[in-house]
Order: sequence, then structure tokens, then C-alpha cells
Amino acid sequence: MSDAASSPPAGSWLRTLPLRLRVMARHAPTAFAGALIVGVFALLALFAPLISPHDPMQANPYDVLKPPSGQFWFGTDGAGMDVFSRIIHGSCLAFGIAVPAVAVAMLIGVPLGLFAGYRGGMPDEVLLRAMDALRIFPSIILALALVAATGKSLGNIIIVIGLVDAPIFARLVRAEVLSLRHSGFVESAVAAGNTRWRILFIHILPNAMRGALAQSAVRLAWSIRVSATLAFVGVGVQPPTPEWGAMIRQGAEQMVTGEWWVALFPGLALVLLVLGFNLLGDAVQDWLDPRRRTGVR
Amino acid sequence: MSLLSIEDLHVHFVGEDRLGRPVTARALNGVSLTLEQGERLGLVGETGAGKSLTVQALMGLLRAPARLVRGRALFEGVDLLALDEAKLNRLRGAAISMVVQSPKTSLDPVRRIGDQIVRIQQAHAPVSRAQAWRRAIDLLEKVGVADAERRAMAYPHQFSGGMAQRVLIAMALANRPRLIVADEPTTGLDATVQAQVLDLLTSLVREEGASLLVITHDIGVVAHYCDKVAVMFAGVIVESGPVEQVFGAPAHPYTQALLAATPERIEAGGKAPRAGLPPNLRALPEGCVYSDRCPIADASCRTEPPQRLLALGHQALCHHVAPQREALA
Repeated sequence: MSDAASSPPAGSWLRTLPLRLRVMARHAPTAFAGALIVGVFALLALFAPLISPHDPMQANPYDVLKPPSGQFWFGTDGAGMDVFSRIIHGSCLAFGIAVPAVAVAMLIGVPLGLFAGYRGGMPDEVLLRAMDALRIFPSIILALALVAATGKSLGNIIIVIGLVDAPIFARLVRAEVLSLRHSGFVESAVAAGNTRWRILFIHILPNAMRGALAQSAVRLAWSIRVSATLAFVGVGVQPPTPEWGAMIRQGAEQMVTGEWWVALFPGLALVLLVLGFNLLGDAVQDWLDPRRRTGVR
Repeated sequence: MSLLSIEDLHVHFVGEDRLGRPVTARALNGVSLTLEQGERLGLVGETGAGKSLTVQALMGLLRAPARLVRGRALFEGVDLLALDEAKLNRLRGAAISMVVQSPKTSLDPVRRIGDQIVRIQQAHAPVSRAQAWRRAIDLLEKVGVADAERRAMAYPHQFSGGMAQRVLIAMALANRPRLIVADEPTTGLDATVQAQVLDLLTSLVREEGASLLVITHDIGVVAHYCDKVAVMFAGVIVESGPVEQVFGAPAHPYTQALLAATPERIEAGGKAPRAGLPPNLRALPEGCVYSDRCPIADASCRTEPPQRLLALGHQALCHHVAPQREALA
């Protein structure tokens, strides 16, 4: 009962980090694994130029399709580019597309959901029907069509992924707002003479955001998957830019002739990062519940 | 001028039945009551009598399908029911504040306790955060939260029900209200905590010179903590007056039945009255709303009952109140 107030001052956050990581590894191993995977990939992305042993876009006609070796850890692809370096730089792009895309999705979805849920009535109905209409299309097909129609630039890919994902956040926030709107503390806030705007932004939004934030890790995983899919079918990021989906596509052609490493390693990286985000997403969901925000974490 | 004067308040619930025909439930049917400065009034009645609804109408909390049909609620001469939202917001939370039931759900789960007491002050006056925070600590100490400075940093889920109710009382007092409305402030608390919370509430109300309107279905609470009582049945105040007169010489058959039904009287050998069904608000009887359940109802009860003045401030809404008692007034 006597915790939050006695939580250590901010300065000791870093000092107690190793301890808290150990506690986390013991009590929430899946969360720990997710955080570890995402953390490692984030570091790879941040320090990509320092870590990668070769230039990821340097074609080398003398080292085409070399199997994994001491010099090329994951082998080389059909243009003689180092697969290991390309995977490291690919994580840059994975984060670089997924994070802004989810931000776009939240920027569109959260205000819409907030407005629709609080306002109710006609605007709510219209929004819901529009969202349903969007959901009729399989989201990947929709993203594919939109990118094909608007052009393959990185900016377009980010906006389209965000746009296709926005309904998820809108629905999530709307559902939260609907239940919050008539909750005891909102009713009390009304009785205490707060204006609608104050209630909406001070009391409803922070509570409604919890669900959206918890979903964000899962949506990051989804965005990475979609951007890889777009690249794989050829409407996303174009080779020779090191994008995992594009690399898998290139490698798929070599699979039949026995050069398995070109497609396998980017595929593994993709699976691992998506898995990491999903594990993390589950953990965040638990953690964001303030009733659990007690004791040592 | 009374501090609060509710006049002829009618609220209906309007809906549709399965065939789409409009159905009206007459939830409040002419509620009138007055409350003077410094008085403590208890509003009692069974579930569904309209106690909470009366207060909700007062605070501007009615929402569909509830509909205000007519009536006035004058607070210091200003009709609360006719105010627009902005003007009402200036009053509620400041001059009139409310302590609700279920304290645990009435605090925002993601904000610290102290922060919530700060915000209710900032909603009404341009006070600095530091100043508001100091007052929040003062208020928490006043309502008996030990170690207030540390507890102000805690989140609502770290408080027990009784403690959360104390926090709500602190919030209600924050802007020095002239009227505090408490809607079953002790529901869900155990008996000793109930007494503590009520003692605290009434003593602070007296200290601040405010008036208190408390809703309860516990007659003991009214007898112990209130100056005046209003007994409600089916959206009508059937009897009201000073506590000792209403409970000492209940005039309305419903008040009599209510008092006879207290465990103490039944234990003392009294006969438990026939309970009867809760009134059907969609088909209230003509005339007196209590006539379907009343043991002494007769043909005259099919007409509107008169408001009989029995003593100073003591009145009952009934055809059959003994005339000689009326003459005493």
C-alpha cells in the first residue's frame, strides 16, 4: 500500500536498472525476451554504420553468391553485397518505417475515436461505417493498392501503412471512451464543474490512451510485416535499398538453385523482430494497468 | 431566501416499448423541498423513490432517457435548471459540491490523489499549483488522512474505500462550498467506517458553515446526523419536517410504515408492516401515489392529496392526516 510515494528519486533510475532487469527476467521472462530482442535490433539500427563490416549497397562482381564464411558471415547475394551488413541496415529501415507509420496511425485514429466516442450520435455512426468499409478490404491488399496508386516513395509507404492501421486505434479509443464517458470519475468531474474540454483531455484521454499504447507494440510488429510484404511483392522499398522484404524476394529466386542464405537470414531477422514486438506488446498491456504499478519493477 | 429551494420538480424517463410505442416512466412527480443556510437535511426513501435523481437534476447530471419536464431549483435565488452549462459549471464544484457513492470509482485511476485535489481548485480559480498543492495537503489532513504529504502522491487504487471517501470529502470541501450534496456517502463501507465518515462529514460541514443535503436509505443516519428530513416515495416527498417531529409523530402512512420496519422496532415486539411492491412508475395510481399500498386508502385517495401543515415546518401529503393535528399548526 505504501509504494508510489516512496518510489526512489529519478536519479537512481539508472543505478537500479540492472537489478530491475534481473527481477524482470525472473518474473516476466517473455517480456524480458521481447524487450531484449527489440533492444538489440534498436541498437543495431542506431549504430548500423559502425557495426556492419561491409557497405550494404556495395556490389562486388567477384564475390557473387558466396556462402556464409568468416569474411561474409551470412554470405553474399546475387549482386555480391554482404547479407549481414544489409540485415543490420535493414533494421534501420524496419524501425524507420514502422515507428512513423504507427505514429501516423495514432495521430489519425486517436482523435477520431475520442471525438466519435464522446460526441456519439450521427458523427459516431458515420465514423463507424467508414471504419467498417475500410475493414472490408484485407489490410495488406488495401495498402498494396494505395501504395501502387500513390507512388513508391518512403513517405507514401509510411502514410499508407499508418492510414490503413488508423481504424484499429480509432475503434480501440472509441470503445474506451464509451465506457469512460459514463464512469464514476467522469460523472464526478462533471459535477465538479469541469468544462467538457477539460474532462475530455484531462480525464478521458489519458485513460483511453492506455489501450492504444498497449496496442502500439503489436501494431509496430504489424507495420514491419506490412512494409516487408510490400517490398516482397515489389511495390514497397526498392532494391538495392537494404529492406528485409526486398531481400527475401531477391533470395527467393536463388532458393531453388541452392543459395539458401540470401533469403533465410533476412527472413529470420523479420520473424525475430516481429516476435519481439509481440512479446513486448503483451507485457506492455499488463504493465500499463496502474493497478499493477506497485512495488519493485 | 432559502439557500436551496426545489419547486415542483418533474422528471420523466421517456423510452419505447418493444412495439415502438412511447413509454413514460414518471420518476419525479413534483418534488419540493427547501434547505436553509447551515441546515442538514436527510432525504430518505426506498430504492427507486427518486432520491438520487433529484440530486442529479440539481447538479445538471440528467441524461437521456431522463428528461426534465418542469420545475425549478433555486440556489440562492438562481434557478440551476435554467442555467447554461458554462454558468452551471461556475457553481457546481465550487458553491455546490457533491460527494458521491462508490468512492473507489469516482477518482481518476491515472492521476495522483493530490493532483486531483489541485485540479478541482484550478477548475474554479486561478490558483498556483504550489498553493493548491499546499491546500490539498491541508485538506487531506483535515479529513484524517495520516501522513498526508506522502499519501497525496499515491494513486486511488492504493486507498481503501473509507480512505477514498475521505479524499472525496476533501475534494468536495476544496472550494469552500455553501452546499454539499452527499449521495449515499457511506454505501459499501463497513459500519464503523460509515460512522467515522459521517461524523467527519457533518463536523466539517458545521465547521465551514455549509449546508448538507444527504441521501440515504438508513433512517438511523438521518436521526443521528440531520436537522430535517424529507421522506420520498415514487418521486414525491410525502412528508418533511424537523427530524424529531417527523420521527416522533409520523403523519403519513408511508413514514409510519417505514419507521415500523426498522429492525429495532420489530425486535421490540412491533409488527413488521406489509412490504408491498415498489411503485410502478409507468402506471402510478390516480391521486395519491401511495394509495395502492396504503392500508387506510379509500375513495378520496383517488384525488390529489392535500399538503397538510402539521406543525412549524412539518408537513405531510395525505388526505387522512388527523385534522386536529393540523389545527395545532
